Amino acid sequence: MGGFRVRPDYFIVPVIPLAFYLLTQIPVVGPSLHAIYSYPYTADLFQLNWDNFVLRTMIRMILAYGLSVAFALVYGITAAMSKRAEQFLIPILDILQSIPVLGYLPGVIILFLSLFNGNIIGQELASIILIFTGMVWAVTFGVYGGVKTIPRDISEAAHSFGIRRTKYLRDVVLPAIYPPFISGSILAWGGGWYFLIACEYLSFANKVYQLPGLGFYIFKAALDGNLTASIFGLLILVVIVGIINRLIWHPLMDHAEKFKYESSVLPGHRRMQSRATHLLLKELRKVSDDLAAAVEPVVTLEHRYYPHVLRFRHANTLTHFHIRTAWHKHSRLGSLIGTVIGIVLAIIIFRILVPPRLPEALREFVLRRDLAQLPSYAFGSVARLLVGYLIALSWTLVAGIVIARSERLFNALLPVFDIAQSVPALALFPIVISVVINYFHGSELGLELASVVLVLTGMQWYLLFNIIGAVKAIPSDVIEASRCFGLRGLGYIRNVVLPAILPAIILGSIQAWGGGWNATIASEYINLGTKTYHVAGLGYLLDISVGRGDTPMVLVAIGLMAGIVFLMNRTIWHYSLKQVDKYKFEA
Amino acid sequence: MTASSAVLRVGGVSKVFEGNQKIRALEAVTFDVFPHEFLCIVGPSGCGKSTLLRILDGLDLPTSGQVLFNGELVTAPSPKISMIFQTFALLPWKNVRENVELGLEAQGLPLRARREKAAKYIESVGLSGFEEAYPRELSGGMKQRVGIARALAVEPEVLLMDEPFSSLDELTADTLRKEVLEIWRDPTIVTNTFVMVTHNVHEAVFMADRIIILRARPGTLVADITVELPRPRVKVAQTQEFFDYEKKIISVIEQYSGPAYGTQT
Repeated sequence: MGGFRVRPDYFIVPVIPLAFYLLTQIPVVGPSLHAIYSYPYTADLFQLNWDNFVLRTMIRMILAYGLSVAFALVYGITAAMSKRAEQFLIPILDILQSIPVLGYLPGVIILFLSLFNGNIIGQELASIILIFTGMVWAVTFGVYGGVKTIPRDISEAAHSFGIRRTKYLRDVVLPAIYPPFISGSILAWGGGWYFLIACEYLSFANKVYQLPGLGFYIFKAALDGNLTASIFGLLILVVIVGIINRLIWHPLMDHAEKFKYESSVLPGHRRMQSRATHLLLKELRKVSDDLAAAVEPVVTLEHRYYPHVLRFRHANTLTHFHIRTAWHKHSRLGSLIGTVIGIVLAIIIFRILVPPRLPEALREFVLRRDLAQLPSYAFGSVARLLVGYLIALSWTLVAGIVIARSERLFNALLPVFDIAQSVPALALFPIVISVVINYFHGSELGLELASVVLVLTGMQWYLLFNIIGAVKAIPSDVIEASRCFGLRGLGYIRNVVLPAILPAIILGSIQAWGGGWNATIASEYINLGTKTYHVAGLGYLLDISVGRGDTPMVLVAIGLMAGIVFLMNRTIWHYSLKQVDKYKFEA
Repeated sequence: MTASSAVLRVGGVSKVFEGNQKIRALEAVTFDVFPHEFLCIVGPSGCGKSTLLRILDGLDLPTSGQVLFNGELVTAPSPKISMIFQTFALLPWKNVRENVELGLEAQGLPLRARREKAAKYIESVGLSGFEEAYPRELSGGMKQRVGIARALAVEPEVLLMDEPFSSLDELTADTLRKEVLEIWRDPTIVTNTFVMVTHNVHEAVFMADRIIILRARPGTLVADITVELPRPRVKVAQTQEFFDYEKKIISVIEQYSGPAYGTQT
């Protein structure tokens, strides 16, 4: 095992100009920056200002990602290497990641606005921290999972050769983290993009904090009824996501493959080049072998990337599987400690946010009329999520199995899905709403439909990617045995494919419901300035409470959401996971 | 024995994998397998012996050449030819009985007939009483017994085995080898032609009537050796004659792939 080296040429390319730009901005932080922020934006197709929108968004994303990486490395490695710390760090992480991004908004805004006295810097930091809350968990779980997968003989060998402390960290831990860290980072960036709008258009306590950026542009344009500009902004976002994937994640993913412990031969992927690239290389080789050798990695990467992404996602899912089953199985005390610490943390946050005269505030709060609506809100959201989930499950199950079994479909569609999942849910809302208004004349049914469609966007990708990954991960000998014994068509699907992917479906479902709850915020309420639309649900409650600055209600809404998530995890999902434990293929 | 009585006729089979580089896995491999024969295919890793086995089963098609089973062209897996896998390839969500019934169910056999056959072959591999156990509850040796019962249950004419003992510990493997030989000679079991891929020379000499040796890159047939040792070979395995066969086979392999091979066995 060699040292830990990342090819620097790839990811420094976009970072250097951005860092440079950031540096040049420092002297003008002051009046001129202030002027930019107080400028009343009318997002027009022709006013998309690259300096103020795209670059600012990129800087926010990169800073938030940097923070996520720092947090993930410290937290993940600590949790994985210390048994005692693990007992409470992992349950806390599990709870924190189930809180929707908007749930962090009141605390973050109050904290940073008061710290910076309402200065722009405070708003910027608040936005970055919010993006961070959408990114950090995936990276942290990746890091944790990476350390956990170090084979015992490797760590024992390292110890017997006297490799300890920083050397162990550098030569064993970091290389092991590298692959899941990359896959976690890809998920994190997807999450960051998905919530970009919510992080650049902060509405809290009857005030809107607009941060010039791509997400803001897309949303503002839609609010102003300029759908063309909004879609233009979305297109730019899609292009940016595509460029980042191609320039940064493709090569890093490919490089990371060398650091994996498992064998890297995927069944059914013996031929990684398409016919066209194969012919191209053949022609090139006639001209010059060196030329062909230089071109080859560039054209073959495309084909290797998506199997890699899926495999890493699959590994990530398995880590979650491990965390959930291990956590519930072994360490009741640990999870208890974790829950207690979580509650204490929540109380501390509560004390910071809620006015000092707590008993009176509480008495006042309990007497509020709108509390009576909570059950119907909760029911509304759960019902919508359930409908969205069932739709998502049925289409992804069919599509996932078909796509995974056809190399051509796989190669054609995965790149599309990979980018589609990054499209911010909020960006779609104005578009969907305008359809609803046109075709359903803003009726209740139309709104419900729109809401379900948007919830779907937050749920379906988890299921789809998990299902495709699991179908691809069916061991080749099992596939051959089934063919050898004459299993075909539906018999093969029923006897082999469905049981084989069941664990992934359940884990995908857990993630999908998490994503779905996050999406309710973007799908149950919209303020178009002149008119607001909403459907009754916890996401709506959270939206308006944040907007009014009604902190106690925000906490109640988040608490209720987290409670439902916790309850479902502990009952339905925990039970199902236990049932399918025997469905795992042995290594 | 005349050529016409062969169960399997492998004629000029070549296999090329198109990829970043062309890999010639097999080239013009020709041999026959006769009824009641125990044939071993031996060679260094990468010589295409597993690919050859998959082509015999119809799981993979040759780039050129053909495989005839009782005079008919093999183009897809058939219940008349069955297979045992190195890594067992059991379905973890099915218990022993359900795994053994896999091929029978695919044939559309009614439940009762399925149960009877499964019970018979579970008994023949000594797993009676474990019908309801799941693969994860079984040892490696027991898992491979399930694999053997599953392959026999469809009552094939030919049984193909892909390094069936190489993921087992030596003691278990030794026991299982003897049991497979007993099954091969058992007149109540219809399957009587066995083809086994292995890289273990001792194992090949211990079990086979005939050994064919492949070399790597490209995978070509370099020797076809008939093992004329009396059976059972438990005691024979300690004799000079037995060692001579081992030496002869190893020297053929080394001739084509260098002396490193001898240390692998």
